[in-house]
Amino acid sequence: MCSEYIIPGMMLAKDVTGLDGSVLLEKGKVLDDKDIKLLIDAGIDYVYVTIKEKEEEERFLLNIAEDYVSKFFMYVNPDSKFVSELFKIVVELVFDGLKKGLELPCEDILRAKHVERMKDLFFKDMGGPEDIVKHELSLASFPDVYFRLKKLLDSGSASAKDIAEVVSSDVALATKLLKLVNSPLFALAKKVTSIEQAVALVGEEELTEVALGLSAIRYFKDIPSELMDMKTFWKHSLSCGIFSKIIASYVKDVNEETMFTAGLLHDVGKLILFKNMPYSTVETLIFARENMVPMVEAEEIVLGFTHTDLSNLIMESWEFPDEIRDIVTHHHSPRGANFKKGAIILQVADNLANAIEVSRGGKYVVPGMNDEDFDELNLPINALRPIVEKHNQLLDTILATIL
Amino acid sequence: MPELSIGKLTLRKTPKMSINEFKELTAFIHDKTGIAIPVRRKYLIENKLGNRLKELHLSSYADYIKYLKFSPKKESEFKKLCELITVNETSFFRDIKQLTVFKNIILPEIIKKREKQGNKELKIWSAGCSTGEEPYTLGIILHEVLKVSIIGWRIQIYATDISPAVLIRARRGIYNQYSLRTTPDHIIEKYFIKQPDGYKIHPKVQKLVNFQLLNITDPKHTKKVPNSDIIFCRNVIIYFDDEVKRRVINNFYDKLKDDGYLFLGYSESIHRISKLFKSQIKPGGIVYIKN
Repeated sequence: MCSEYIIPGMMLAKDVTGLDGSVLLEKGKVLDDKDIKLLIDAGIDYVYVTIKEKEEEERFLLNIAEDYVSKFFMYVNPDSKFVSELFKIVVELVFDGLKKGLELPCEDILRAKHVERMKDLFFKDMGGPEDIVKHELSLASFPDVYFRLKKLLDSGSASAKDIAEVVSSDVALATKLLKLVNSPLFALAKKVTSIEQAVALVGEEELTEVALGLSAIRYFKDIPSELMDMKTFWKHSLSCGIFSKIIASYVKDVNEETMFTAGLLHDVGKLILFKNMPYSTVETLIFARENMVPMVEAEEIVLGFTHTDLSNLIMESWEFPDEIRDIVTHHHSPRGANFKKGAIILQVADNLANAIEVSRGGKYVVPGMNDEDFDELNLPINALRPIVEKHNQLLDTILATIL
Repeated sequence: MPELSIGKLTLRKTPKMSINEFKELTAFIHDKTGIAIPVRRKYLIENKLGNRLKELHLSSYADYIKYLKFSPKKESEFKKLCELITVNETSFFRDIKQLTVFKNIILPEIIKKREKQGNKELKIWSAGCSTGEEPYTLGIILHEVLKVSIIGWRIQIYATDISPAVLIRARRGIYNQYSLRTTPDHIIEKYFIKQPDGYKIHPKVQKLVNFQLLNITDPKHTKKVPNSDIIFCRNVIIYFDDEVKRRVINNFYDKLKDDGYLFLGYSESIHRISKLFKSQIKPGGIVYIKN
């Protein structure tokens, strides 16, 4: 267990040796505050501990879970009923995990890695979001199949057959799309075996939007892995997409597929940022972790703009549907959105996704949101738990489908 | 049963801080340190200070503010406060590209100049030195560049910070693996001594550094700083608002020799704030010189 999670009263299961090999603390010692401080100051990150009285074990684990999760909830309003419920859900997840042997990541793993050898596109204040997007556009073009689909839709006279023909011309896309549509996430009445069938059951616009989302994943294949683990990134994005879709099913006048795609693409701006300003991105991560603020706030301070500024510009260039662009751009500031309900749903979904990740070793604080905005959805607080359960059931299977 | 206890868990672990209390507290902090804390961080501050309230047996932030302003122990409490609200993300050889500019371009240039002038003296100010990693890194680089001829130079690295707690650790000079994560192995071997409780910086580096408590936003304080050839102030001014940033830049202007260099953090810039300095782009980073 990491030294910083140890609670006084735990007992050492093995000797702890110092840097030079001598024994600092002996096996069997019951640790007090001073011992714990010594371990942390000496940089001894990891020790083997056990609990003296077996009956006490659950109580200790619950305390550890609560302490650990609290760290990620320091920025948010503790009186918010949404946030409080989220906190309890996550503590329970971590507690269950600990009972099954979950290892909480140590502080040094949670900290940002350094990418000393990577270069930014420009130094601070020598360029802005427009320059980054311009550069990105010059590097590569968005998959053609999307533009063809969009053209079809805009013509107003596309049939399911026309759409199926375009999608099928991209075999990889068609395969993924079918798998996705047949998954429990869409819960269609029956299994579909062709794109034409999928269009008929899901809707033309809706299917095009989902195809859009899948195309975007392909576009960002080549980001250096030392910067960001793409699987982790898409997992978070998918998590957000799934939450968005499920929440949308509870809310009136909101399209589930649109929300799914918006959720899937909500952090596309971050990818653009990583690709073009890797060094500044790490500075931002460090700032966020050190100051315990959400990434979006760290971006504002360190860079002078945020990933949503980038999302907005690039989605405009790629001619994404207005609704999706608007929702994604405002998912941290829903009051500025035209499609406000959608932006609020996305913000809730992002918070849920972040919170669940805390129980899986995630590194970022929960950003939080205004209760007034949350209330606009008329989502009952007790719906959160079933929403989380449904999401947890779906996430890993769907991830395998789309990657 | 744990399930019941989870149901009873509460996220609020501290008394509530009212908006007025927040405004008063942050005004006090801004006044004394220059640090600006935006209102969206109210809950963060509540949490950071919550334990302190418990330790002092105070039941409200209003009481804490009174304690800060009027208690006989207010000086030492202010030090504690600094410890709680300042951040210390630092390591040896942080931002290697920028340090390479210092080592390969700026330092040799200044050394040559001072030698020619017959004045073998180097004064470097590490402003906001935190737990000492930066000034010691600069000391190591000086040893690497000057090698044995360092003996013919009068060198002072003036390392300052506003938080007494970090200065204590800096003077102690013992560090863990994490602080050394971007330091090359051969440097660690040459300049650190392995001890059971960590890596201790070598005395030949330690003696180059002079640690002092100092508030860089206060010209009365910065008056005492020696006129410097180089000033390092990295990832400090990012916490100040524009007005305080301007004041700090003014103070730096007054304390930098006319042919000296200013190094700021990678993501910091001042061109919007002050025309006293102009930037020079070097491979790997920006340096500032007096305008």
